[in-house]
Amino acid sequence: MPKVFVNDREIEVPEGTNMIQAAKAAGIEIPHFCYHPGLGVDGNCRLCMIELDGVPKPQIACNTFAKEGLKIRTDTERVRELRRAMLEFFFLNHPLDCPICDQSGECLLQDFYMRHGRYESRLDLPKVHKRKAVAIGPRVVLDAERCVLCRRCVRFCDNVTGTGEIRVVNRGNRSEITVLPDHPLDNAYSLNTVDICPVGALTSQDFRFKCRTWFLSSAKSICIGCARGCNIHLDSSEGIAYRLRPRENQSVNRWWMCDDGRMTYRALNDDRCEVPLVGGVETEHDFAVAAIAERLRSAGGAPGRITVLLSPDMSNESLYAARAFAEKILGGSRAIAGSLKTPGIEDDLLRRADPHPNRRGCDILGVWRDDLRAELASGGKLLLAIQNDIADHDPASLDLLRRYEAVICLATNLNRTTGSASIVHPVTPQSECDGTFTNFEGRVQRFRRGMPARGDALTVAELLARVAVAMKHPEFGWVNLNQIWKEMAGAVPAFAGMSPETIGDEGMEAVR
Amino acid sequence: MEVRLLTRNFDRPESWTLASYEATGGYAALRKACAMDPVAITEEVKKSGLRGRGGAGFPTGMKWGFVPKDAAKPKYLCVNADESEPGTFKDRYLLERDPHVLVEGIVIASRAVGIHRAYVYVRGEFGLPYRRILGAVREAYAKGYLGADILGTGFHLDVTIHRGAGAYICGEETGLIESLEGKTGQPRIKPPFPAVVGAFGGPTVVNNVETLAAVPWIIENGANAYRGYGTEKSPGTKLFSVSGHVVRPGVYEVPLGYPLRDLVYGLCGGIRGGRKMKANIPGGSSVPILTGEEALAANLDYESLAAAGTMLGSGGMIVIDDSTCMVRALATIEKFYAHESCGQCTPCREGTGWLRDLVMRIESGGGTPADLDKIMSITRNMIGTTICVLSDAAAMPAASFVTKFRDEFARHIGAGRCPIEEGAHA
Repeated sequence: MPKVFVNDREIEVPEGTNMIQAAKAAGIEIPHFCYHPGLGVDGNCRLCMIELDGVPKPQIACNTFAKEGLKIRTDTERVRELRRAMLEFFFLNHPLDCPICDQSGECLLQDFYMRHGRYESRLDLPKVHKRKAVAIGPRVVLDAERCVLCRRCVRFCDNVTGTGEIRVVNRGNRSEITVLPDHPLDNAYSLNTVDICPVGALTSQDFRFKCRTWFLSSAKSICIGCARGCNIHLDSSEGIAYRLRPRENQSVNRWWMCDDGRMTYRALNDDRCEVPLVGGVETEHDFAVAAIAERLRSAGGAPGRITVLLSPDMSNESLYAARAFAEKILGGSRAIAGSLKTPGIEDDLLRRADPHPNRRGCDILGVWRDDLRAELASGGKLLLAIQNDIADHDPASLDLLRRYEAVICLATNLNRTTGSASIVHPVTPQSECDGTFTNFEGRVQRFRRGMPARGDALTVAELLARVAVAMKHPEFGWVNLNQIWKEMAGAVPAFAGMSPETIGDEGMEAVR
Repeated sequence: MEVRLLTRNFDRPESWTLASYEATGGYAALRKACAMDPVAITEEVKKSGLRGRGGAGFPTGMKWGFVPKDAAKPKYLCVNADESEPGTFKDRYLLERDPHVLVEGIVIASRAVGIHRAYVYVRGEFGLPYRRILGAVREAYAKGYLGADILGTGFHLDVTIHRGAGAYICGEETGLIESLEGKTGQPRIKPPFPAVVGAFGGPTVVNNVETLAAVPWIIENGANAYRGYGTEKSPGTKLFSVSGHVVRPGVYEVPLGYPLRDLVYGLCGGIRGGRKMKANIPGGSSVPILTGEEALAANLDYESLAAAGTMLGSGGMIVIDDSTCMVRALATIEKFYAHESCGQCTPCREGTGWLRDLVMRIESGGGTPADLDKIMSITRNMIGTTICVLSDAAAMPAASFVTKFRDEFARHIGAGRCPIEEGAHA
């Protein structure tokens, strides 16, 4: 690997690394707009100017590639002067509407000005006016005056989705991006253009004006929209989820995620199950736990009397805990998982037809059943349904639920299934607890708690442990995620040798 | 005195026809080239010292030599006939009056480099030049100078005439290639250079019309004969398009190194009305301007003009007399570049419009004394900071006008009106 010198700091980087990446690896920021690792070099913004030893003219860092002994400088007076100059050019026709701009707080133009600009303004001519607040598609809004014409969005639609909706039209300082008539920006990945837009030119129809970005806190999470398990940032504020953004993971979703996946945050806010219900009446947590324990006890310990219905939306930890609960506390009752949800659209970029984040986890734990309908039809007296909304996906399956004398639901959201249950207790969705999913390729990936649990919601493992206590089994349960994993890694061959630490932020392949 | 190597046929009746061209010995150079080893052709051109006549002055033979010998993809020749630099109209004359000399140059160059497909990218506004080169290509096909098995050598070459759509930037070689491929005319980042990755991904030579038109003469008469004209470092002849306030504007072919004074006061008949030459832009509107005194001391070759602080460029000489307002002249130039900036690179996209607006504000009487330093500082940030040199092309005139005619700009600002032109904008 070639060694290069960034401001005299020696750093070894892989062949083909450009100087923006090399400097970043050395901990030095080279401001840039047009370059993006997922979109390659375009060379138009001219902000990433550096000086090379032995080359008289400043060069762009994005198009300067590592070779042995290359010496670059990002700290010379000429480089600083050029950065200020480029930023001044960008601001020449850029509206200073930061107070009403949705990008404020995460705007690269703002950041770069504060870090590398700070010049005295000498702009005293009228600005060029362009189109504002134009819906260029159902989910993306364009403000052409804010655009820095880096063409990341153009290249995304050309090179990543291959749909080519966005074009630059006109020339000179009248240049602006647009979509072709009758061809709106409506591909399945259109909101990525909002993420990669360095300024407030492209904003999300869904997110704009909902929350100032500096109020948001972010947690590393996993999208539950399909079996891909795209790595994401979950952005929330004061217990409300506002948006999901892709988190780079070269093995899973690179820098992207689909538009449908982004909208899954809504279920974290809407129709949440927050308070236990017994017979349709809101009750105290302790009372509900006692009621659940009583029902389970009275259904009888013999196998076949109780069916525990799991779901491919549950984490590995929840599945493992529920399976152990069925086995040890419910006398070897059957624990099965399945889905009645209609498969989604699959493509060759990210989206998978399987609409659940953890069907593979159900497979690994041996609970997956392909014909859920038949399995449920042969059920016993009592159904303990965990995070599985079979009735919402298929109203006819309400008949299946009616075969049981009673249905107990542990649920994140209120829905038709909880509506037909005699006892309902809230459990936490992935946004409110730590855990893991196993994606379709067998990659185990961590999600982290980003928001406080709503109401009385507990993790499935916590809640079942409390029920076990009420059923005189105080020995059942785990202290935390690490402890569950310690046990799972020993008990489940596919998870052998794994722990939350080794899985880390990038995920880890389950043993085949 | 003119030396008419490339313009030798200009005054003949129907000089654009094959019959006329052959009558003066046309295509003899091609016959000679067909008997030569392709490498020897390139060597002869290298020896001649011919430099690109489009503006950059890059050695032509060296450019041909950059094309990889064993390229996996087809190689192309792109003839740059997108002559758009204000003040330049020599390629138009060549296309209109002697298109066959270009066709012959194309075939020789293609044989030298091993190219079998050439494109002539003709400026969109060029109606007559387009028809003339198209006619010449058709005649050449009919006579076996183009197509399969040229002159029985087995060498084959097809030529396509492509009309541009009227953008200045498509005269920049990679902008031309983008446009030729059907894309928006915006220059590409280099490297890779066109000689390695050019049109349709193949190695591509891009040569100006005048450059290729010089090739037949060089092959026919030899590099040494060509070196008999011009200077040591700038051999040969150059076509100058002289416009502005001279008595006889037009295209003149003179040996490089020719005194500027002799071109303006000799061949062009001096300044109209006997006035004084206030300024001279020797190489097309993008090169730094010279004052009249500087111009009179200059010779017309690459090195002399560089020493004078300007460039030979395309040889589009604009002569300016003392009745001209330099602010207004600069405003005209800056309007052009702001209009033609492709908008890709930030300094050019924003800088060209900024310069135009500042100069126009001074011109209309609203300028401030601080504007002049501001213009100088903006131009400093525009020169050498972009993908192509359109940014420099807009910045160099502004910097040189303000430097050399600063007093006039200051008087214009101070008076709030033009101190020179009667009835100009108040």
